[in-house]
Amino acid sequence: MSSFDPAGTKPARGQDAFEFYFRQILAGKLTRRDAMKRTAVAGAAVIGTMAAAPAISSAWRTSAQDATPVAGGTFRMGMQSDPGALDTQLQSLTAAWHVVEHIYSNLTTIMPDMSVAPDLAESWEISEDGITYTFHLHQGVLFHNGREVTANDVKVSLERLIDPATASPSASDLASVASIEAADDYTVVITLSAADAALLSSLANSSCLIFPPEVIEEHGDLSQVAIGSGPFKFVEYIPNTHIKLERNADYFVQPLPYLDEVELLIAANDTARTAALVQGTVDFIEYVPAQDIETLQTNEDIVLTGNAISQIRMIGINVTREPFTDVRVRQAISMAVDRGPIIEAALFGFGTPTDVVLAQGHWAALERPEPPGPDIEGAKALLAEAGFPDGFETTITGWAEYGFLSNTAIVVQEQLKQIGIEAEMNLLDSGSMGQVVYVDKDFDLAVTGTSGYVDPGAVFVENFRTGEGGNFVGYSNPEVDELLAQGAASTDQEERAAAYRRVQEILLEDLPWVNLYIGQQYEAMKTFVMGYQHIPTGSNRMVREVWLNNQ
Amino acid sequence: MAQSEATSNTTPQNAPTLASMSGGEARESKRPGVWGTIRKQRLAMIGLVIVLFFALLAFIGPSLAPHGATEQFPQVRLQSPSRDYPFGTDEFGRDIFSRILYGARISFQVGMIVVGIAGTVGVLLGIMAGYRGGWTDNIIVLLSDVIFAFPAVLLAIAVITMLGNNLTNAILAISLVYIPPFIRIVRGATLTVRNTAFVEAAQSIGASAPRIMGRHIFPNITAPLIVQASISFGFAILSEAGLSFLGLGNKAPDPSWGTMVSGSYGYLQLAWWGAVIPGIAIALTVLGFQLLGDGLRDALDPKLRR
Repeated sequence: MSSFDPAGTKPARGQDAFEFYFRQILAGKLTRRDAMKRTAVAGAAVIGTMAAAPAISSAWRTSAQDATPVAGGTFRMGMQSDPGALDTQLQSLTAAWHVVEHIYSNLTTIMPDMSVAPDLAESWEISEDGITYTFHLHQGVLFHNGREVTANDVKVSLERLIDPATASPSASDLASVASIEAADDYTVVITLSAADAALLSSLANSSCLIFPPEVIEEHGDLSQVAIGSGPFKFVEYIPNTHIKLERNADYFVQPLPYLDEVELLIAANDTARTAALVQGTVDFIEYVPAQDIETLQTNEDIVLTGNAISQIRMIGINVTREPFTDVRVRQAISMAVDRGPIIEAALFGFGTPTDVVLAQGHWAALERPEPPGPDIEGAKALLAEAGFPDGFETTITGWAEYGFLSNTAIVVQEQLKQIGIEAEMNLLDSGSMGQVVYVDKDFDLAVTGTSGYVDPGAVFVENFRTGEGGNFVGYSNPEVDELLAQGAASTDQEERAAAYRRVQEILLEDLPWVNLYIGQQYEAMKTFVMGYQHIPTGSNRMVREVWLNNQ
Repeated sequence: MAQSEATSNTTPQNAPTLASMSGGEARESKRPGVWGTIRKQRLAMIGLVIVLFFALLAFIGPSLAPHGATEQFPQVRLQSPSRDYPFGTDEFGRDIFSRILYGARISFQVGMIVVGIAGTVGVLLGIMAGYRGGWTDNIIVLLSDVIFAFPAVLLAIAVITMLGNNLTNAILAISLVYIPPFIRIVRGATLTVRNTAFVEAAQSIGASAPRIMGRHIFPNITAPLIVQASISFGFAILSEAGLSFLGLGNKAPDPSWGTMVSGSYGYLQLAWWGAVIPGIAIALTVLGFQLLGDGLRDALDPKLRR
């Protein structure tokens, strides 16, 4: 796509030039070299600092922006989907994650450069065998109810995720954990059953949020309450309307946050979300609809950030159901799919076709040529071999709210018709989708995607290990389980990469997922919104560093 | 049998509020017939032409469609109207012209089934209420008022949520919403007819209540019923489009006009035709039925006939 044309894009009047060009880089509009030319001599030093991408973002955020952050104001965010409930241990929905990430703290967190950084845990030590992790907590961190966060809260919070009684679809995040002990008030010792290279990044997942246990005693679960130790306090949640948050003045990372209030307004409809931003009803939108990217780029009051993303979109095939138990049927589906038109219809071309989970260029990626075009005759032959010369009827379950995913489903449905597979379409809202596909596992074909991950071990274990709660397609292969154990146990990146590459090879043969594309993802905001950064996991957590330059 | 038929054939002329439907009778009375009245009303004629046009589309349209309703041509996404794609293509590269033709069938199916169900139920309950009176009347009117009290769209959404989200249930939901107006109109007309001489005559010769309602009352309340049916037909199409727009009822990718508007309005700035053309189709059809309904009202009301 030629949409990111650097020519003719200039900083808006009154906008800081560094900030502008930096955002252009983030948005993929400018190469660093272009930006260096434009920002001239004075800019070079700053750009150099950014390229080094230090682990603590605030260090360069202040240097990248001339102005001193101004505290105060209400930040209104246009959100893609209603979370339904706020307990991210009970359900695994991006929409809920995008709320609780502002309210809770975790032991660790993921920075915009995808590195793992300390959050509640000030520091940690890992034993030489990789089995024992000792976390030292920040002292004096307060929950929003005024009580200090102690090691026991961490223990109870994380144990709830693992507890079989919780039946969490995200329990695999801590699958390697054997025990969690509070050595003293500020020291947590996590002992693993086997080394797990993904542990530190998994602890940053929204499923590993740290909450005060008394909230569970009082309310039963966290679905309608949210008391954490994060930058913002929960005020109210009106389903399908908004979530209100207010500043946590006692947040342990001072002087954050700058905003007095954050309102997350649900604007599931793509058109409505874009319109809200343009008209100024909101200051920020997530999941910029692909069809609006070019229009928004030409709007002087709006900047986009984003592009990089770690989430794969795919057809998940329920391998426990007839006729998908037959690998030939799954291969036929894979051969019938034409990724180009899917990416055009879903994302206006803002995506990369792939038949493996990890993007090319990832350290554990399986090197692959661009996926081949469809082979309808070959697919039909395979179906005939499997006993379905005329195809069969089935269903596709997909997301009604994420426009790019429903469009993906509609194109897939039409492409499958060519080999005689007539699929009835069920597009569900987020809450139903979480229940039907990820909890009840009551579907044939699901057109869906993963949420962001950092370590490849996490995405493979959660989705493909035998019996995992997140393994919604019901896939089971002992060889994969063995390789995943190997990949987790090793600390040598090359060794791990080898294991995960082999896993991806096997997945290409077994095809529990027909991978489609890795999409680009953008957030758009008014130019007066300062300090926001895109994180390739898809997280909006950098809202804590946002300040408004319009006061 | 012969006796009562004779009664019902002669009575309409006795009843002052009754509309006459037969052309022969119009010739006798030297008044213009229904057709004659409608023909003089330009707007009603426009309505009739529009309705007939879309009815024809619904009937034979799909066989004229150059492409399948859900067939996708990825290389021509969001293309403006051209010779190959007279109404342009949508975001999947589907031919909007073909989808409009298929959509006409869905719309007319909805209209016919809704009017069929709501009309039948409404006539049965309305005549019973009007003729029997008393507690039968009270209960039917109360039920009808309860349904009427709900905003129509909310009620339809509630019904679809309960029954499940598909086109059949959407049609049932819309039918339910359209029953009360039929009951009201039929009951009102029945009350007028009930006290006429020919009904009393039928009663006096011992005709059963169902027979009186079916043989003597029903044929004499058809005028307001036809008007109501015409107007309901248009609004039922509009309701289906509205529900489809909200994602209820018709399922993507089937080309209900409402679904087409809903799917394409996100692309208005890039490809206005995707949402505007089905929007025009909906508006025209509803307008056609409205105009026709108004014309029929005038034509069938003897007071307005000159």
